[in-house]
Amino acid sequence: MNAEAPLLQVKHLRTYYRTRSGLSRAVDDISFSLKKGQTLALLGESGCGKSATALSLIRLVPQPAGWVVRAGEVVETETVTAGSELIFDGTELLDLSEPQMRRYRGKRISMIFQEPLTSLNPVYTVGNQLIEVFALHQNLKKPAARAAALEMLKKVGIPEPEARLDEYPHQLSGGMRQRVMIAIALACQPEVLIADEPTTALDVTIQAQILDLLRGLQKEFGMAILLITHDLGVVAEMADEVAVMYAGKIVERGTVQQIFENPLHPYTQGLFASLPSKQVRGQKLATIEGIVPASTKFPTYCRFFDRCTCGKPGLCDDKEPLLLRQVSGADVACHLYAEPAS
Amino acid sequence: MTTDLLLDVKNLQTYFPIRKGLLRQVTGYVKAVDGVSFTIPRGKTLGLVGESGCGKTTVGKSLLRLAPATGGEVLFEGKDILQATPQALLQFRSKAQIVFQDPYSSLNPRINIGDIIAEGMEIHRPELTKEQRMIEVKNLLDKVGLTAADNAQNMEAKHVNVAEKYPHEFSGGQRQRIGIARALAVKPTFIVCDEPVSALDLSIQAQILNLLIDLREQEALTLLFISHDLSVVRHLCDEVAVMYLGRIVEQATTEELFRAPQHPYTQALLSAIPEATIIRKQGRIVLTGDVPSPINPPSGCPFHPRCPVAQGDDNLRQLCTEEIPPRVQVDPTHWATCHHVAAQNLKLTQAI
Repeated sequence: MNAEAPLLQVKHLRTYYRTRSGLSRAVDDISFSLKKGQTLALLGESGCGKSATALSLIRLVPQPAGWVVRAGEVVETETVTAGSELIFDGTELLDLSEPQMRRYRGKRISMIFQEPLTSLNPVYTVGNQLIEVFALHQNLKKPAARAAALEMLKKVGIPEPEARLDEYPHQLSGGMRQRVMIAIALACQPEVLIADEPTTALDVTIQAQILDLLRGLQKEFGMAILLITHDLGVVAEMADEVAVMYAGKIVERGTVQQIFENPLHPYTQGLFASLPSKQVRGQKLATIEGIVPASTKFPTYCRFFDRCTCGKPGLCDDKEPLLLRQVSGADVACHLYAEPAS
Repeated sequence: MTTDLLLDVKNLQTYFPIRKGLLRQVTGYVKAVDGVSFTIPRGKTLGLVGESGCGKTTVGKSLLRLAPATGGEVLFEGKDILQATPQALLQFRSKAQIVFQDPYSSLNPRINIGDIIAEGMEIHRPELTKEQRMIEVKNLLDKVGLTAADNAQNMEAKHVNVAEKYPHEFSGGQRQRIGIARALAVKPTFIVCDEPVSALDLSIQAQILNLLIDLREQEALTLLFISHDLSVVRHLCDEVAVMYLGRIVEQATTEELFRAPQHPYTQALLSAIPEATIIRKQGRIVLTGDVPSPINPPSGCPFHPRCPVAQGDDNLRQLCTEEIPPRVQVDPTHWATCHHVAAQNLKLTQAI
C-alpha cells in the first residue's frame, strides 16, 4: 500500500433526504479515501447513492431537503455518534462557510456531470463559461482568461478551439460538450476530480476518446479521480481501486485486481454474472432477482438479503454486516465473510 | 434456398425534409436511412447496431410505418408494407409490434396497466369480450413475470391489483415488462425491439434479456433487435448488421462478425467497448472525430474522414473520398461495403 497520506478522506458519510414518503438514507455511513494520482471507482446501480456521495463531497446536496449528517445530530430519535467527516488536505470541508467552500469548489475539487447538455448553461457561449472559471479562481483579466480558455480547449482535444469559444452548447455534439465540461472542471488543475458517469450519455467510440483523454490529463496533472459509474468495463479500464455500493452502503472495497479476479460479496458476484459477455451465447443470463429496496425503506438487516441467494436466515436477516478486511486484502460487508478466514 | 423470409427490406430510404424560410421551402434532406437492405428469416433475430444518429431507430420505425419511408420496399410475408392499403396496414399491425427504448415515456401515465395492455386487443382481436380481454391481460402479466414477484396468497386479487396500477407505480424494469406485454397482446409474429434494455441497470437488464429469450421461444417470435450495446447483441442475435450514417456497412452471422470483423468501422466499434476484465486488450483503435451530419454526409465512403485505414493509405484515400464503396461478399453469410475489404478480397482471389 501507498504510505502517502490520502488527499481526501471520507469518514462515516451520511447524506439523508427528507422526502414525502419518509426519511431517505441515500448515503448511509460510508468511508473511503482518495490518493494523489489515483482513481477510485464508485460502482453501483441507479439509486444506490453514488451521485448523492458525489454531491456531498462538493457540498452541493440540494437543501433544505437533503443534508450531510454530523456527529451529535438526532435523526429520528437516534443520536448519531460517528458523524460525517470530509477531510481534504487537512481541512474539514463540512466546517467551511459557503464563501469559503466556493474557493475549493471548482478550484481544488471539481466535478464533471453525467449529462453535459443539462449541466452547461444554454444561454452562455462555451467561452463565456470557461473564461468565468479563470476570472473567478485565478483573477485573470479578460484577454488573459480568454487565452487560458483557448489553451484548455486545445488540451481537451477540441478541433478549431478558436471558433468553438464563441459557440453555444447546443451547437456542439455530445462528445464535444463533454470535452467542454472536462475543460471547465480541469481549468484550475484541481487536485480532486469527481466524474459522475462521465461517459454514460456517449457512444462507445466517443467514450473511448473521453476515457483516453481523462487518463492522459490525470497523468499530466496528477489529480485524484473519483469515478462514479455503473459500467464494469469502464471501471476495469480506469480504476486503481473500486468501492461497490448497494443501497447506500459500500458492500465491497478493494483494488481493481481484487474485485475483478475474486469478487467476494454476493452482490458483486451477481453483477459480474449478469454481464452478457461472460455467458454462452443465447443461454439465459444469471440475474439478481428482485429490485433495489427504496431508500426510505432500507431493511435494518443486510440490505441485500432480500435478493441474495446465499443469505442465511437468522443471521443475515438479523443485523447489518460490517465492512471487514479479508485475507485477500479486500473489505467486504457480508455475514458470510464475518469471520476473517485464518 | 428454401428459407422462409418473414421480412425482406429492399433499399429502404427515409429522408426527412428540412424546411426553411417563410414559405417553408424544402432546402435539403436529412438522409436518416439511405438505402438499407436486409432480410430476416422467420424465427430469427437480427441485431441492428450503430452509434446514436446512425439511423437504426428510424429503420425500425420505417418498417412499421411509424416513420414515413420515402423509398424502397418492405416485404412482410411477401406483401409490400409501404404500399399497403389502410385495411392491409391494420392487419399488418396485429402481426408486427414494437417495444420502445424508454419505459418512462412510452407508457401513457394516465391509463392503468390493464387498459394499456388491452387497448391493442380491442382493435385487433375484436372477437374477445371484455371479460376475455381481462383474462388475457392476466395471462400476459404472468407471462412477462409481473405477478410472480407478488407472493400474495390470493393471486386472483393480486392480478386485478397490478392491472389497476398506473405506470408511475412501477420501476424501470417492470415498466419494460409492461411494454413487452403490450406488444404481445395482439399476438404478433414480429417485434421490433428498440434498445429495450439500455435504460436499465445491469441486474435488471439481465432479467429482461432472459424474458425476451424465453418469449422468443414460446411465441415463435421474429425479432429486429436495435441496440448500441454489442455485448447484448452478441448474446441475443443470430445475425448482426452494423449501421453507419444511414447505411449498413457490414452484415454477418453473429459468430462471424465478432470473430472476423471486416469493415474498419466494425473493428473500431468492437475494440472501443471497455471489457469488464483487467487483462488489457492490445491495440485499441480509437476513432477521431464525431459521426458526421446526415444532412451533408461525406462524399464517397461516408466513413472515410474517420477511417484509420483510408487515412493511413495513400492509394485508398482518394478512392474512398470519391467513390461509394462496393458491397463485398466475404463469404456466403458475411458482407461489407468497403474499398479496403474489396482490395483485400481481390488479392486473395488472385492468389488462389
